[in-house]
Amino acid sequence: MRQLNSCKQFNMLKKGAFFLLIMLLHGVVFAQNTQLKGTVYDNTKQPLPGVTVLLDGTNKGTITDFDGNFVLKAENVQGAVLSFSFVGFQTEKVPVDGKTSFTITLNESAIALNEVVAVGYGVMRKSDVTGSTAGVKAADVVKANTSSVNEALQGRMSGVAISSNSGAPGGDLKIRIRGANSINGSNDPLVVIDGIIGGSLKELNPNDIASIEVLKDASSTAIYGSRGANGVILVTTKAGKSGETKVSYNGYMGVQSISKKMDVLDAATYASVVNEKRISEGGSPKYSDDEIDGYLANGGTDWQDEIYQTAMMQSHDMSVSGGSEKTRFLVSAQYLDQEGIIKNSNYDRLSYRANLETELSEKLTMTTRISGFQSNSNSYNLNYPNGSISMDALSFEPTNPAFDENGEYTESEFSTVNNPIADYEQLDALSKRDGVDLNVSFAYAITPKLTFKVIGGTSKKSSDSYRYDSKYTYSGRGNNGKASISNSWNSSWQNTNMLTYIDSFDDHRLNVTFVNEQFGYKSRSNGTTVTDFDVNVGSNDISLGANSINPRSSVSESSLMSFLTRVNYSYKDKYLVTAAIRADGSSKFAQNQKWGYFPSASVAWRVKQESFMQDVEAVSNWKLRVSYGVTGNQAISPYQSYAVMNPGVNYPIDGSENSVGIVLDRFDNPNLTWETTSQFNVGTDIGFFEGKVNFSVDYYSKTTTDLLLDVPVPNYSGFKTELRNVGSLSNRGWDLSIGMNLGENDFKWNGTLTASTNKSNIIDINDADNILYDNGDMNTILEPGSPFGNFYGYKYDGVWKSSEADAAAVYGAVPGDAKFNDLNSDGKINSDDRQVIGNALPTWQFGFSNNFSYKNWDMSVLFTASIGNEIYNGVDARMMGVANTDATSTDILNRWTPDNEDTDIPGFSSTNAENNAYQVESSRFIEDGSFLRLKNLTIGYTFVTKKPKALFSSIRVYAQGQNLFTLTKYKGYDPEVSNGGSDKTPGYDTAPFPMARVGSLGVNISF
Amino acid sequence: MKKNIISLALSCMVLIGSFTSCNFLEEDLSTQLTPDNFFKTQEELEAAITPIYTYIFKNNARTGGLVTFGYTVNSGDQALTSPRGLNKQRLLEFDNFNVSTQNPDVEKLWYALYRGVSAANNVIENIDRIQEIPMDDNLRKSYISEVYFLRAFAYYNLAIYWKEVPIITKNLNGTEASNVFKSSLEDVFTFILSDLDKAGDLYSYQKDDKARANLDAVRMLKSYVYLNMAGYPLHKGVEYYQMAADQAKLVMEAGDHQLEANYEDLWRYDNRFSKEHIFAFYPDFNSGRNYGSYGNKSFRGTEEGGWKDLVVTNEFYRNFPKDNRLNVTIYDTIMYNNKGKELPEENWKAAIEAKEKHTWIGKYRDLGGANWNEATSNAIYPIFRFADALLVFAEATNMANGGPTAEAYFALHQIQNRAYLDTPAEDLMLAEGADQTTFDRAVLQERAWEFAFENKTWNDNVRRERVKETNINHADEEVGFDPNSITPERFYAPIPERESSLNPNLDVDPDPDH
Repeated sequence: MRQLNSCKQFNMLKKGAFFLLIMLLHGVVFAQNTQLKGTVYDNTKQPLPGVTVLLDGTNKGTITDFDGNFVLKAENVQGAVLSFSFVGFQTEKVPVDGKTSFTITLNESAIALNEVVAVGYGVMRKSDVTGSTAGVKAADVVKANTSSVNEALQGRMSGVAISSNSGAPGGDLKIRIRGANSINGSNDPLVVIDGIIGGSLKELNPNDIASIEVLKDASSTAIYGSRGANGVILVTTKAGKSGETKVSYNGYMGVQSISKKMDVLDAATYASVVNEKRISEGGSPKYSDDEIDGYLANGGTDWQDEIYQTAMMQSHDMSVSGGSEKTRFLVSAQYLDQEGIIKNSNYDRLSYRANLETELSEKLTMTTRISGFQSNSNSYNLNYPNGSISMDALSFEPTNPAFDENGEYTESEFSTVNNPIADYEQLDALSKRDGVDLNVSFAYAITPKLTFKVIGGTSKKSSDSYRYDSKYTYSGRGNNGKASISNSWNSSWQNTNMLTYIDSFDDHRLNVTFVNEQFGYKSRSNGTTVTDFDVNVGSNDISLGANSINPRSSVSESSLMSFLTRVNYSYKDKYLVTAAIRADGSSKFAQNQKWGYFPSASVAWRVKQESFMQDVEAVSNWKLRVSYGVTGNQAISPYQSYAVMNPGVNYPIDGSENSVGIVLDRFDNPNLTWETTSQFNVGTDIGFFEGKVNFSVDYYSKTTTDLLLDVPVPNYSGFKTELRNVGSLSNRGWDLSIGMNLGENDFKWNGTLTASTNKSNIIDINDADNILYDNGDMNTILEPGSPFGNFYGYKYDGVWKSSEADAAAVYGAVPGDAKFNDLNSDGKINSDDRQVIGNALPTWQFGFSNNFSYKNWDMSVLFTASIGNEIYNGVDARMMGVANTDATSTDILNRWTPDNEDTDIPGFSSTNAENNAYQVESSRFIEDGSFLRLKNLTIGYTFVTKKPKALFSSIRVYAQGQNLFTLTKYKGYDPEVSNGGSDKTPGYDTAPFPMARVGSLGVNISF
Repeated sequence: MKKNIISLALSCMVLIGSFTSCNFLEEDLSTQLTPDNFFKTQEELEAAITPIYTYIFKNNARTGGLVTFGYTVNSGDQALTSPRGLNKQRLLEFDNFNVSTQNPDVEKLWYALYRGVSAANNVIENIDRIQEIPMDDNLRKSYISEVYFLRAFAYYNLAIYWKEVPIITKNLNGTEASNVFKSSLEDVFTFILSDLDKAGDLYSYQKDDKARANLDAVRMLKSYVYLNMAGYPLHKGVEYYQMAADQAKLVMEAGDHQLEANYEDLWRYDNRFSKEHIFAFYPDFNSGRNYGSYGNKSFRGTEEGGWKDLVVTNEFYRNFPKDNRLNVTIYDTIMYNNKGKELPEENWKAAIEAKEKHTWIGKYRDLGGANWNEATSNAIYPIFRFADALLVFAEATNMANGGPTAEAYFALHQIQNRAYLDTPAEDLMLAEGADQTTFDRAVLQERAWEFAFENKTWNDNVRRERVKETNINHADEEVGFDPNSITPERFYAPIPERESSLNPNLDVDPDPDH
């Protein structure tokens, strides 16, 4: 209790100190020397951040902030000249001439090299960046028309792999930057939105984004310390601009449909194949000849047609921005409404934002950002193997009608298959999410060179899910209906205090940043499950259920305190050095390990600036970069270093109803610590022909140590494992990108080709030979010396031919039976014959994005490709009838028979039926998942009015297609969506919600 | 002025920074359930006892614990087998008396039993705090006794299936656990008896808690420990048989339990609280499949949608008396489809025509309202019945006295009357005047019928060195099987390889005398 009180006191003190600080900064207005300020734009009226503003002939200067604004204080400005310089733009010199406010437009120089980029805790000229980063243009994100921002990033950056686990509306995507660093911890990158750490891309309105930068190497991510190991995604949202109020509207409507249907047997063929199988396996036929004649005459049920639909989607987005000289604002809202291609599934979301920037005084600027969202989804995210609607539709008997003569759902012969129509009609799974973020920052220019900034932010999210599985569904069946409600709330707060010093003298430029940061997180959750509903209104009134089970709730809190210093130094704009160190103290770390230190350093050499390169005209830019740094991953959850008791080990002491059981779950573990990833990066950026072609390549090598693994302990201790920091692994790879900006006048083309390859290598898993993950049917193995994603099972060698009857007999098989590799040649097939039979991770991933424009026409084309990844096709195992069902795939017609020897599909026999379990676990169902996909094709036309009083200034109309075609040998619905699973067990196709093909029409209007 | 501001700003940063000295980075454990804030109330004590049952019974999993793997370790008896040609190696290893150190079931049962021990140790280690709980003293004593009984019960199972095992009396972390050695069988039994002595205050304090252990269960467990010590391999002989008989007699005379009139009634879900059951595990399928008992799908045949893990040996079915027990003990005709719908009688199928070509376990087919599609059900898992008391008494008295006494006959006949009267098997009743050997054989045979699929026969075979004798025709199931391969070292399960690789000390044989 004492601890509790003192912490409360501390929190009050802390908040008090925070507000005191703000008040102080707010309240103080100073006597000034001359104060020069203004905004710098490019020739398209976009603000230019990072422009160097110098009083000519002095070392007094500053750089513009993210919205192009600058404030410069100087004495004796009579006759002085301000110089505005920025890489890629012609330097502008403007006499002060008694003015104090300036609006400057910089024209692009012929060599349009680059812009300023966001780096952690600040902005930097891209030419000064010494680490490895990748950016995406906001326009590309908007144009992609995807329901979430992360999907729009697919294929656009090298070293950034984005895959979807489900094509469900509102489905989740997985982002991996340069491979996975952790076995048991999260591998999700850190998302930082406007300086607030831990945001979510999923609910962000794409139209609000000003820029997205992805930090890849340790020199750029180490400033995020114990949270930086998986890379960092920095998002900056748009701000309003002084001047005329602008109103814009973007909207589109789309039609989605399934991009591919699987070939399944018609009812009559299915019935005769089933009969043949039953007879061959020593049973009796399931269908009579009369029944088969009936199916021939009347057909059966096409279950895919029963569950898939053509689905609509629409999005509307409105934004208003503008401002006076001192106050600028942007207010926006987006509404997205999307049906899913599986009936009854849908997602809708409202996102809103208000960004406000006010100059409280000459030196003090306040920025306020409020944003939030509400979403509802009914996504049918059902679990394999029981209850995946797609799987049910592909394995339910086509001979069954949807309903029997009594109007009841028909049932499958197989207990693992449920009626697909019942699946979507009888399951009600609503998930609601809400979030509000508030972010206020004060920037105070103590001197032109020294800026102090305070950021305070809070974020609240809640998630409520209501689910009812009626008695006709798989999970409701035995329970006479089952309702579950679960709710969770989490809130986080952050306070960042930042001191930035920027100076330049002679040939030296210096940028020093100090940061102190506090972060707190709290979550609460509760839920309950009720079964046995004779009367029901779904999950709306769970009191109607007779049996309440598993009521639950929990609380979790964590906090983090950090200090950070970073120094950027450049000499003659040729030699660049960045060094940083962050100290993180985390409540999650155990008593003996409270603080962690994360150093990093990088150097870059701008070779082009050297005199010997001046004459090489073809090369317009050339930079070499080397960096090394250490980052961490807080892969442990709160309280994990303490011993805890675990409830839920119940037993019906009274013989009929469970009594609560609580038991010691684990011992305390005072040495638990973060996982550490150290990364070396070397790269170069070269521009040719005045920047028309840009080439960038990076090689990286990462090693993660102190991996948290569950280390086995003897079971007689009462426990199975202890969590310890024991393992290590590495990732090595290349990121390449080639950018092209070609064309002049009317026709322009810019294209970016990205390519990435990553190879992981498990180094040590606590001296164990391997860790085997049994993922239902197939296994994945982690072994030292091998990469992630190795499938482990029996090697399938096709079928025994008639000529091999004697050899087959050794294994108790007959010709036509499945043949497996007998690894140890002992004449038996058993678990000792399992081996590595494939790998789920791609060797190369590519993206090729193109933007063309011709006069008022524009077109963008995005291709994505993956090479070398394999997929375990668990759907095919079901459809081929080896996983407790009968075959529904048309491929079964090509099975072995004495007349069809030349096939890899086993025939029917009782001996073959006995090895079904081996077939399911064999390379028979491992397929090449390589693909080339036309991800996005958009064609638009823009009308521009020049009339001064027109209702709008421009209208762009466009048509778009997504997932238009895919070249792949993969047999399943989709090689991309299928490649889900966790990082430990990737590449399992377990019939997730299939990806849709989308056609849409849209309009962008500027008023 | 400028300097003031800078110093102000910096001092603010320092102010915030200085909070590191406070416990900003400490975790507030008051929101979590930790050992430090536990064992303060009677309810918490009760909640800490519950897991001991759960772990031994199910290991808190869908299939786990004694209720699942108790069948595995007994599938070497004459009644149980598993179909050949399927992926049931884990069971066949036991069926063929050749168990590998990697057998997954061996490891899982070992884990479940030791987890039960660990949950018991968690209570016993906190006994000082438990003494401070404000609660009824008798109730406290009863609860503590219950914990000792359950720990003894877990160790009893370890002793009879593994023989020599480590005795763990407190919770160990990984480092401590790797310094442990095995104890001799005699030491393990002695430890069990000392726990059972501490369980002497156990009584059915709360009569409503039907699944809770009671004093008769303590007596039954003691009598079985004595029976085991009297027989193979310790051979303590007559004195221990007498002690076994004495304990069984206490149960017979206590009057808390009695024989059910009809054998079939014992296996009805609605009669699961029959006074014949002294101690049983009661599942609660309704609150989750993890709390259901085994044997729903596992025992059914393919045609009935089952997994046919365990079936009845053809010899056992052939020899089973046509008595009052047969129908409920063995299921020999398929009457349902794979969804659990009853078939019209013309579609019924005898076992010999079914896929397994074996009969099935019949005792646990009343699912107690559970779903036919599930692996688990509400079927009871019996441990000690009043019939145990009678047959232990009969066996032990006969062995201790050099021949059957009238009391021994009376006890045996209670079982035989219920089984055989008014059936074609009536002549199987043991006539008066049998000598010691004849009586002994009759009792042991009666135990095999009476307790079929209740996981007692394997231990009967071991402690009486009858494993080979009762499995002499095992070649009927395993073609080419040589009964001479059943040597005494096959009587016990090996220490799981996982354990001995984590702690090589387990390969060290204990001093057999200690």
